[in-house]
Amino acid sequence: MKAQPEPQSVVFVVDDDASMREAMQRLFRSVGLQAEVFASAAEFLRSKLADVPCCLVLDVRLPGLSGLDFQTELAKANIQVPIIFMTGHGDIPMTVKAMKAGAIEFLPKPFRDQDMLDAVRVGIARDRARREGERAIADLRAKFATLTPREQEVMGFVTAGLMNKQIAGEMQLAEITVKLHRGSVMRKMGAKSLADLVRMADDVGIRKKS
Amino acid sequence: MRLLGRSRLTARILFWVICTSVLVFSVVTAFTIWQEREGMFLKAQEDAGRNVSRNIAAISIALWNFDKITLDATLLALTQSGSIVRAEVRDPQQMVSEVERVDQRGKPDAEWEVPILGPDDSRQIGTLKISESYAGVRDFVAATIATRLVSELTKIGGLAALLFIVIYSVIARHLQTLAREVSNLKPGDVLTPVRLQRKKVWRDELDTLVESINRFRSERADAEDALWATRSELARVTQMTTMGQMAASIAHEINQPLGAIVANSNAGLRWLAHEPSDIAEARAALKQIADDGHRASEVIGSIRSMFKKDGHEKTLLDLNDLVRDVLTMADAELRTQRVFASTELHEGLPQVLADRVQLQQVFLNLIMNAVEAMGSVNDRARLLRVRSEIHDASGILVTVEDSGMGIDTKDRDRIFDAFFTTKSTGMGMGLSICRTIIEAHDGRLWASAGTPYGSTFSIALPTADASGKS
Repeated sequence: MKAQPEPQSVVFVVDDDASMREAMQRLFRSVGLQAEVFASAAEFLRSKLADVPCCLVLDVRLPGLSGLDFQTELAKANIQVPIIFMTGHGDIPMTVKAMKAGAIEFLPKPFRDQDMLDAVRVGIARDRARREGERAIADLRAKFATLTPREQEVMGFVTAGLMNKQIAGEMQLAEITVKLHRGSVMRKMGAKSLADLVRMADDVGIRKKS
Repeated sequence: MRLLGRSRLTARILFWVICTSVLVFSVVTAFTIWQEREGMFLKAQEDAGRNVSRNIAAISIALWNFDKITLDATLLALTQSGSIVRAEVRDPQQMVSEVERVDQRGKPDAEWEVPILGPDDSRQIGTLKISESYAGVRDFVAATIATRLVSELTKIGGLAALLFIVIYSVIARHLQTLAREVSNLKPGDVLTPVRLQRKKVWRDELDTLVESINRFRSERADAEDALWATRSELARVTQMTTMGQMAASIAHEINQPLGAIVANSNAGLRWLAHEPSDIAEARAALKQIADDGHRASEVIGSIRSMFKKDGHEKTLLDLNDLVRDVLTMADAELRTQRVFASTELHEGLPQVLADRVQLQQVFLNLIMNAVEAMGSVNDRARLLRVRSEIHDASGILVTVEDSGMGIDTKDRDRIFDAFFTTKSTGMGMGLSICRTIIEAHDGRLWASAGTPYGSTFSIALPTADASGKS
């Protein structure tokens, strides 16, 4: 067997057709992708999902909740997973609706295996990027939490573009104190420059509008 | 009288006019005659009085002289004419003279006495007694009443006749026409405006009425047209939607195993391409492919059997009614395409046991096909004829004939195949489904060339009795 190219990723397949599920699993396994299959949306939601980069291959026509409704439900619950739709009979409005709601691809059955594998790779890559972005922001938030309230306040003013003198006026502090706070903010946040700090403030979401 | 019977309105008007005028004329005539009679009585009395006073001097002298001859002559003169029928003269002691009219019968109506005075007017020398009878006046009045009655009745009769002619010719006959026209109104009639037989338009109430009826009729016809158009459009859309849904469902059912087959074969190929090849995985994939192939075949089989199922509700139907219903459904289309539809339906057709909706679909499909086939016909009439007849012992034959373009001989065997179509817009499913439905009813559907042109579609169906036995 080849070395697994993406060891820590998983494809979820939801299709009511057992034979289709098996075929999908076999196909993904042949290229070394780990696949987990489910017969319905409810079954997918009940299962404990590994916290790794993943993507969801969803049949439009499902028992109970339809694929498109399921997509809406996931978005509402803020579960961000890239979705690839497949359908036995799709029409244009259905496709448009799915793509607008952020689907990666809409594949009519029977599909070319390469199309499906490409779409799955795109989905997993996108999920990985999203996860990394989220992790970076979580780090920033942790660093921001280590700042004292005063330092957080100073960071707000600094990133809003105020000069030290102005900040001192606003906070009724000596300019030298502001400078000290500012230095510790830069150090604790790990910012190399003011621009860096401003970007961090944006990511954490504390930047005031000047 | 027949006219009167037809026009009850005129009869009623006449009845009341005659009743009222007879009553009024009778009262007036009776009053007049009574007054005249009173006058005549007074005049007769006056005449009698005047007659007596004119002759009283002669009577007095004759009595004074005791000239009986003159007295008799004078009394005779008195009783000769007028109402005085009897006169007698007596002196204080005895009857002197008495004269009575010869034709007098019965008792007199009035009697009165006049004193006779002497020449010096100082002394009463006798009495003149007068008897009066008004029989003459009575006879005269009776004669007058009869004459009057006849003349009044003649007048009333004449007036009634005149009134009848006027009312009938000016109002009643037009009202009859209107009533007939309005009561004959049926939905879907060919529209001919109501017209009254009058020399010119008077712009009176009748003309206004006719105008509004005509306007109402044309508005109603428009509304009916719109309704029919909507209804047939709806039927068509429903049919299309059902077809579309069915197609989607079939596509889904078949694409499911097809998708699995393709995915499995791709996976199998990839396992074989591995170094070394994974034969076990590839074999499992191939086995799966075989299973899915069978599954796809089963799906198609179940779709075919869906049309053959006896699960549909079969009821006893009169095919003639069904044909008429379908022609009504297609009416708007026939009208807009200027197709003249006629039927030759054999009355008393035995019933068939069939699914009404399915048979309706078949007939509607055949009729619509016929209409479409005649769409490009402009040099001859667009004729659609539906005939029903009893076909051998246990079957009914219904034919749908058109005068359209006909069917190409080379296509005749293929038109019933699924997905075969000669139209630019069409799935080629119509006739195929029709034949499936008819065959599910143990019947036959075939096409033949029409004479001299067009085509004929024939449906043979067993009667309910025959299909019950089989």
